Amino acid sequence: MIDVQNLVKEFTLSKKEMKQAGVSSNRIQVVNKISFNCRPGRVFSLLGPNGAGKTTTLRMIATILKPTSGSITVAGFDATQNPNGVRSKIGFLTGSTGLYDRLTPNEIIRYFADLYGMPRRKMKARRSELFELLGVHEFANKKIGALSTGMKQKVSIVRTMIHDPQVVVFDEPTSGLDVITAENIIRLVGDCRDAGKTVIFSSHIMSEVDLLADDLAIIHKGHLIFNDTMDNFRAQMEAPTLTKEFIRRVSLTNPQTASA
Amino acid sequence: MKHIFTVFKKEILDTSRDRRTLLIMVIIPLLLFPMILIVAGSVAKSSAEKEREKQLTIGISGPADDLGFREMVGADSLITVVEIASPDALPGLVRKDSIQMGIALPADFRASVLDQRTGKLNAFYLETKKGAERRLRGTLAEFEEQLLAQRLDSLGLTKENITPIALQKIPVDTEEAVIGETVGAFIPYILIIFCFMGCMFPAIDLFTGEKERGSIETILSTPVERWKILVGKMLVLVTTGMTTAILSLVGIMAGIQLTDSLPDVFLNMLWSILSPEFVTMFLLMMLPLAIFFAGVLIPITIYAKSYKEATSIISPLNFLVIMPAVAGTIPGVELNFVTAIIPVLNVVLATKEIIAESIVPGLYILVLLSLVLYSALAIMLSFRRFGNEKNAMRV
Repeated sequence: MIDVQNLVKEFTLSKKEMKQAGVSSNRIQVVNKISFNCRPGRVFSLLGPNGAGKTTTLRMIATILKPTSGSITVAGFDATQNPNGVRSKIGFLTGSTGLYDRLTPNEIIRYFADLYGMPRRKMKARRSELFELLGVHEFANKKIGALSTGMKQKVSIVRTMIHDPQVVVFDEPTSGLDVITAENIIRLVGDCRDAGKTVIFSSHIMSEVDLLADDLAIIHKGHLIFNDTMDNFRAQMEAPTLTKEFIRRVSLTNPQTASA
Repeated sequence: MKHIFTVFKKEILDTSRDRRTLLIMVIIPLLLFPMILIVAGSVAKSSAEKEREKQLTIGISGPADDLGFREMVGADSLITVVEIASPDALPGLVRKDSIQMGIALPADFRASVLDQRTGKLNAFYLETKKGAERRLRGTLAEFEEQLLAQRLDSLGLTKENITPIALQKIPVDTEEAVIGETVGAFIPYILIIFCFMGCMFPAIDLFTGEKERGSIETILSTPVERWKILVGKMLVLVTTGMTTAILSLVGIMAGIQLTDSLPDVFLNMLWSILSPEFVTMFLLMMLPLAIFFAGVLIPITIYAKSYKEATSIISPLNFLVIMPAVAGTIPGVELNFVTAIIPVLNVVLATKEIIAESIVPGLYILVLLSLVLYSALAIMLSFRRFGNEKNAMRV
C-alpha cells in the first residue's frame, strides 16, 4: 500500500527558467501538501490536467525524486529513509517504453531481473510465464529497434512486472499509444488489481479513469482538489458527463478554465 | 560489485552493437593510419617519379658563346634547350608553360667569367611549380664547379686554399632522442585525441541516451544505488576510451609496417620504442586520463537533453583537449614542474621523454599523481551531477 502525507515538492529555478515561467521567485512549488492513501487490490487514479503535478508525485513515490517535505510510505518502507526498500517493491511504467533498441527482449529482462537481484532460475520461470501471457516468445530474440510499438509495450510490461512487485506505478501509461496497444495496458492495470496489488496510475483521460479507477484523486496546480472513491465522485456529479464534471471541479479553482 | 558488473556488462553489450561507436572505436583507429600512410606514401612516390621523368623545355637567351652552358644543360636527354631571342620574353613563356624555365645570360657573360668577375645568370621559373628549378639545380652547380676549378687552376690555387675552415656537423643524439623529438609527440597526440573520442560517443549514448529513450526513470526506479549505476557506466567509458587509444596505436604501427615509403632504419627505431616499459608507463598515464575524460564528459551528458545538445556542448571541449596536445608537439616545450600538472600536455611531454629515455622519475610520478587527482575530482563532479535529480530528470 501507499501512504502519502503532506507531500511537498519544490524546484529551484535558474534565471533562464524563471524568465521562461514568468515568475519572480527562484522557488516553484509543484506539489503542495498533498495526502492520500492507496490500498491493495484497488486502482487509485491520479487525475489532472497537464502540469498539475501528477508525474512529480509518482516520481516521488517511485523514489526517483526526493520530497521537499512530507512523507511517503510504500509497502511498509519509508521512501526517504529506505528508497531501495521501496524500489524493490514497485514496478514503474510510463507511456514511453524506456527500452534499449540494440538489445533483445530476453537481454533486457535479464538485465532488469539482475538489477532487482532475482535468482536466475526464478527469473527464467517468471520471464517465461510473462512472455507466454503476453505473446513475447515469438520476438524474444529480436532487437527492440526492429519491433512495433505494441511489441515494445509488451516487453515494457514484462520489464515492469518481472520481479512481481507489490505496488505498480503507472505514469500516463497509454500516452502516445494506439488503441490496441493501450488496451494491453488497461488489461494489465485490471490484472494487477485482481492479483491484489496496489495500483496507482495517472492520467488526463477521463474515459480510462472511468474504466479502471476504484479511488480517485484530482490534482490541480499541485493541490488535491478531490480525494474519494470513484463511486462517490459519480454520486456527487453536478455536470452531465464525467469529463465535464472534471472540468467543472478544476475550473472552481481556476476561473480561466470556466470561461474557456 | 554485482550491480556495477551488471550495468557494465549490459552497457558493453549495448555499445558493442552501436555502429557509430564501433566506427569511432575500432574501424577508424585501425584503418585510418594504415590508409593515410599507404596512400600518402604511394602518392608522394609516384609524383616524385613523374617529376623526374617529365620532359622539360628550357629556354635560353643570350650570347652563343656561353662557355658550354647550353651543351651541359642539353646533355640531359629529358631536357630540350630552345633559343629565345629576347630575355624579356622569358617570364611570359614560363607563365604560359611553353618553357618550364628560362635562363638569361648577360651579353658580357663570357668576358665576366674569364675576367675573374661573376657572370650573372637570371633564372625565370614558377615558385609554385619548382620541379624544373629543382632538376636544373644540379646542372647549374656542376657548371659552377667546373668554372671554379678552371679559375683556381689559372690562379695556381687549390680548393683548400679558399676554404679556410670546414665545419662538419656530427649529431650525437641517441636514436631514441631523435625519435622522441620527431614522432614522440605525434603518437601520444593521436592517442589522446582518439581516447577522448572513444569516451565521448558512448558517454552521450549512456547518459543523454537514457533520457532520449525515456529509460532514465526505469533505471532509477530499480533497487540499485545511483553511484553503482554511475560507476558501471563510467567503467564502460574508460574501457572504450582505452580500447580506442590502444587500437589507434595498433593502427599506427600497422600503417608504418605496411607502407614502403619509410626507410628501414626509421622503421626499426619505431619498433624499438614499443618496449614493454614504454607501453606500461604510457598506459599508466592513459588510464587516469581516460577516467578524467569520462568524469568531464559525464556531467555534460547528464545535463544535456538530447544527442544534439550534448554534441554542441562537447564540440568546443574538443579544442580544450587538442590545444594542450598540440602545445606538447612544439619543440622547446619541455616537461617541468609546471607542465607536469597540466592535463593532456603532461602526457604528451612525458611520453616524449619516455621515448627519449630521458624521463625524470620524480616528474613522471608528478604527472601520474596530478592525473589521479584530476580523475578523482572529475569522478566527484560526476557523482554530484548524477545525484542531482534536476539534471538527471531534465528532459
